[in-house]
Amino acid sequence: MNASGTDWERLNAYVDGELPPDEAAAIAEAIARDPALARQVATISSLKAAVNDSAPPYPGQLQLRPAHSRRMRRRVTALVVAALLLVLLGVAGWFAELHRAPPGIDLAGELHREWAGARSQTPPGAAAASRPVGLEALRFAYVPDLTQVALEFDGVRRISARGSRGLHVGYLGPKGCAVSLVVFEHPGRREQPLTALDTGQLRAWSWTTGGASFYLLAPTMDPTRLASIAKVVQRLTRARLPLDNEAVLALDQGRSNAAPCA
Amino acid sequence: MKGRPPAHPGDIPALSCIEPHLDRLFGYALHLAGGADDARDLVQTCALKALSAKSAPDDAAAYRSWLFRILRNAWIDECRRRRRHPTSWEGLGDDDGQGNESGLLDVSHIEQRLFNRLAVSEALARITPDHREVLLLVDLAGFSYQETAALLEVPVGTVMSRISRARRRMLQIMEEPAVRPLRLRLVRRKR
Repeated sequence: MNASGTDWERLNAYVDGELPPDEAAAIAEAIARDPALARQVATISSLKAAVNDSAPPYPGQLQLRPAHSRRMRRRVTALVVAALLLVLLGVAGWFAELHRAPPGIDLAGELHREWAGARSQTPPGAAAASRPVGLEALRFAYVPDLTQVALEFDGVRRISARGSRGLHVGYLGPKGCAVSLVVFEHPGRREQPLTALDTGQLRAWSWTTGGASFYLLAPTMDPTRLASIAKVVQRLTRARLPLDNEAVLALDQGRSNAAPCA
Repeated sequence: MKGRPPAHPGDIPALSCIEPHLDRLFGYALHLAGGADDARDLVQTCALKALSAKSAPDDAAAYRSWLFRILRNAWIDECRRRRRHPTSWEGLGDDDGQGNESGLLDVSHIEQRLFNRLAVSEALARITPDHREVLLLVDLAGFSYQETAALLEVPVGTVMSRISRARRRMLQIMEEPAVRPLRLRLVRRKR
């Protein structure tokens, strides 16, 4: 109790209208005499009003469903949204992969030059420097065996460069030609037809089939001969067939008519 | 309690009895549950229970008190279901506001700007659950001490005492600077 006979608890009860009339009247008189007490009452009243005003209005309308069904609905909604996001991400990833530019002729050309350069320093008739992987390693793409058409197999190298993975298959021709078949993994990429590429320094053929992009390069080979090999190899890789008689005949004929490689 | 005819969701008059109390029920539920989704669930559960009750009080004041009791019980049930203690709410629990219990508070420097909604909500979150509940029932829901005491099943004197302590603590919290320094824990580095 303070000098005016009013304590905090009774003052709160006064503001809340909880005091008997005689007590309330006594406090009202005290407030009239004492400005400090009046400030106390004003503060309590302001706080009371502020708490009263602190609740936001009820959002929306009543949905008279059991709580567990509402929770279930929210969970299902959240799951559906999450699933949609996942699908969206998947589609975006697939779309990006689909439209990702193939590693390109530049990398294929570098690989060919590197292999052909190393091969030129090897004495004629000597075995290839290394054969780290066999043809059976070509699981992501079918590569036909061209040794039946007088192309000597000179090894397969794995490629992992500039974010691309694939294989380089080297062949040596009887007229001194070095032929590279470069295959890049490209899952999901649409089929691309056989296309002649000419960068000015390099002549090659490319196509895409079965989730792999192929580049056939032999810069010093007779262009007609290279075109006929490309046509046959593209057909076989697409159909996943070994060399057939028709292909062997076409390639043999092309070889006999072709000029030696420079 | 005199029996009112059974109410059900299709009973529009019964639903219209609840609607005037929705905002206050939601405000109370919001401070109990701490989140808008849970608060909405609580209010809807409360309405569903009220509408499906076999009887309801006829008297308007008793009806309102009955609704709040249903909501409070629904919250306690929900806490039990989640194995959560009804009074161990998230947020910063605070002390009881002990000390200088009966003396008047020096309010000469308390400015009116302190009484904004955000400051009140923050202070409400920091007082003890018992104090918060009694403050909400009296100030937000508008119950008398007697009604609050009946609802909480405590003596009227306890309500009177709690409400005065709750307000004292609220004012103390609201007087604190809005920006508080972070409590940094000193960690001695091992060399």
